[in-house]
Amino acid sequence: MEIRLERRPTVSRRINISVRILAILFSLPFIGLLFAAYGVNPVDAYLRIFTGGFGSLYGFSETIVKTLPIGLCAVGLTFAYKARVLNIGAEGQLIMGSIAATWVALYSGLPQSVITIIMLLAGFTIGALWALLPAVLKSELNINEVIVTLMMNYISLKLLDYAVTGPWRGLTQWGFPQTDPFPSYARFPVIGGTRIQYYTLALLLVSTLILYVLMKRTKIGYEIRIVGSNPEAAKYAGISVNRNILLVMLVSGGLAGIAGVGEAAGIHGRLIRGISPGYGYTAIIPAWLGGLDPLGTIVASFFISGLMVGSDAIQVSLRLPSSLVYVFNGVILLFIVSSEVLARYRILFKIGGRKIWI
Amino acid sequence: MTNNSNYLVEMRGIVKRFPTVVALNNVDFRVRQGEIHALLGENGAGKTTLMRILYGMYKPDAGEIIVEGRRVIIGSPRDALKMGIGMVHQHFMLVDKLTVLENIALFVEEGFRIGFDRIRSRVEELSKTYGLKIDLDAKIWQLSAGEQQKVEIVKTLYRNVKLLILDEPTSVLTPVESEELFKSLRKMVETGKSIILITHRLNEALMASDSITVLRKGRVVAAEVKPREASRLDLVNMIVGRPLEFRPSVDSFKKNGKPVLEVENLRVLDDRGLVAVKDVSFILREGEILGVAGVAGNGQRELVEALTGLRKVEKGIVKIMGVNITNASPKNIIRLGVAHIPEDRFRYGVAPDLSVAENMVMKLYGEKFSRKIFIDSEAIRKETEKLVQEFEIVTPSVNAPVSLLSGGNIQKLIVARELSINPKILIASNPTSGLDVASTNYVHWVFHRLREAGGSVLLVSEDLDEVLALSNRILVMKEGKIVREFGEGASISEVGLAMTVGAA
Repeated sequence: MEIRLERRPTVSRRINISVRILAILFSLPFIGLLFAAYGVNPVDAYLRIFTGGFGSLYGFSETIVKTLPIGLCAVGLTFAYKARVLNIGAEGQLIMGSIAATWVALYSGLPQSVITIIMLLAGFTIGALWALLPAVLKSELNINEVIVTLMMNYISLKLLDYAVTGPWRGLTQWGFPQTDPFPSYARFPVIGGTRIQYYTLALLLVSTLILYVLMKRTKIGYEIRIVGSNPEAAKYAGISVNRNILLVMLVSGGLAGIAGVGEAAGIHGRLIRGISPGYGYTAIIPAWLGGLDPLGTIVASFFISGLMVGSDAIQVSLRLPSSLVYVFNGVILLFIVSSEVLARYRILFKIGGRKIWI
Repeated sequence: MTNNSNYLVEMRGIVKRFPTVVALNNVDFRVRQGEIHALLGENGAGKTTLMRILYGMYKPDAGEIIVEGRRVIIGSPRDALKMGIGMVHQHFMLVDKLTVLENIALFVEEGFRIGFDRIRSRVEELSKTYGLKIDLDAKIWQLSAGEQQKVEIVKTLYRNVKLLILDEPTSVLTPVESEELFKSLRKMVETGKSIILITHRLNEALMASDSITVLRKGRVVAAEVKPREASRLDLVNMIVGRPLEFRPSVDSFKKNGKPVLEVENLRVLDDRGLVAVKDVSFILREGEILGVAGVAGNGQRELVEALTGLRKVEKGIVKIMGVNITNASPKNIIRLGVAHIPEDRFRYGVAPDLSVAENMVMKLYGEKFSRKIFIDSEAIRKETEKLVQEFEIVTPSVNAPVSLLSGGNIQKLIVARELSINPKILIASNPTSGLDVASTNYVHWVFHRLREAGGSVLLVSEDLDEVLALSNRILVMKEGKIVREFGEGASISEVGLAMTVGAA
């Protein structure tokens, strides 16, 4: 018998999607082994995760709550990754956005009527600026953005820590590492009975749509795709690679910043240590899982969020460690990335005289 | 099984399919012992594929291979070498940072410890026997292409091969070096070895070989033709299958046209920081084709990159239509009406993840194919289909990812794209590399048409025939300098000699 890898003659959407779904399905038995090691029945665990995330109205709404920050970050990251700018700093950009929103809400002294819009603008701007530094370092000095954005996440965490334990520590909070609550006019309204914020939801949908149209139908999207596919060819064609690097970083940083505003103003109503349970990192998965397409990314973000909510549920009901969720995500990402090969190549089995392709 | 003892190797009924094409369709091929056999055909005919099967790099979908009368299965190059079959590829497989001796040792040593002294003495012996002079202690990156090729040949001879396959060996050699190579090949044949010479150059096959087999589009059209018996015209027809339409002629050339490109005292560094272009000055005039001849690696690539804004100019001035564009961005240079067919089609020429259509409009998407910020996909599709048809680009559809296309078709896409912007100046680097004779001919005709319309072409090419056929003037570039200039009527030997002036 002979086994060989062969290039696929055509690349279709159907193949792309089925490969990714298969990747996830194949990852489940491996994670199941983990559950078994904890003495938990894997099938039982999976069922609980699924019902936890999607099975009840409460679970479903919580899934959407998580889809908002993850989706905002992920859609922005899709834009950056398409240009092959590996922004790993969504987490830090999100945190900086929440810090910016906090300042506007608590210390800016701006009139009530404009607070919301200023918070959003500030969040976007600060998130974008936080991404600007690694962008400039990459375009001017060819410094790897993966390392810079990652390191800046830690810087933002320290800034957050400093703010909530130092100058911004809540006067009414008995020493807990958090600020005073935002005034009610600075808080984002939610859909009744849930924690789903109107503004963030709207912004997520609008930005997804805009980025989708931008990437597929405009000159900017076209340039970005060429930069991502072959930066040397982009240069040769007269496209400014640097300008596009800056653009995608600013946009992805800004969107992550807005996610941060939502977390501060919509979910917690204050700035706290741990304002993000790693949303910025988690968002990397749906960006790739969605095939670097904003619409696919939204679907994938929804899926990942459901997974997170379900995992939270079993942490309590089955008493599993919280880090299990991160292992979960890591294994799934591993499977997805390695399955990329199968979207472009197929496996040829030659048995006897016959050929079978997968 | 009949014992064809005078045939060293026989390939019978070979079929090889790739996802988009049948590369070899029932091919029979035989080589005798002690002969130089030329495998002739245009680019894409299947020559390299056939030999790679013989060398164990590919497995045939059907057919059999017989070596010295016995049927064999060649599963890998290792098997091939065990059977005495060796191959020297077009793209060398040498490690730049190691020395010649180390590279050879890498290839030939089987055991745990490396006997450098033993290898050294054996290599010196082989060098002398076959007239292949090499410096064992030089590092590969210091060697010219011709010298590297010698290392590859010695590497293979070390393994006591009975059959040596050479893939387009003269593509990196000057005419003088080619002569030396053929002398060495004769010596090998005198000791009983067989040589298969893969080439697309008719003259070579006629002058250097004992027997010629012609492949066209994966089929054998002529087998074991003796050079003395075949006429040149017959062979050309066999290779091409149809008569050529365009015969380039260098008349109708208006001397002293306006200068459109002026280069003064240009100095450019290469990727390693060494001087690649030393002090180059020339003028390209309106309505002329200026050829730059020279073996690859003498600064041509760096020169072209400097002229198109892809590489920094250290000293000197470049002017286009009188405008100083020294170190200008590619965008501004393109705006002045400059098109560029790059030497490295994969590095600069295409964005692999995008479709054929998207690649086709890479230069014009801003002006011709968009309204405000939106791209007009319909117009792009129409234009691409027109160009695909005109240049006979083989692709499943204009929306197929460009990475699916063969190298030759990608080259056609790039040529089509650059010519479609109706440039005033076309800078073309090896524009027809990888193209079959018909496509090459078409491209030459389009260059001619461009020139007739008042445009100018700077043709940088390793293909001397091409340079001679098309150019009104020829500059010879060696070691970063222009060493000679020829007007019309230059002969191939004059130019070839100029390319080696100063060679050791």
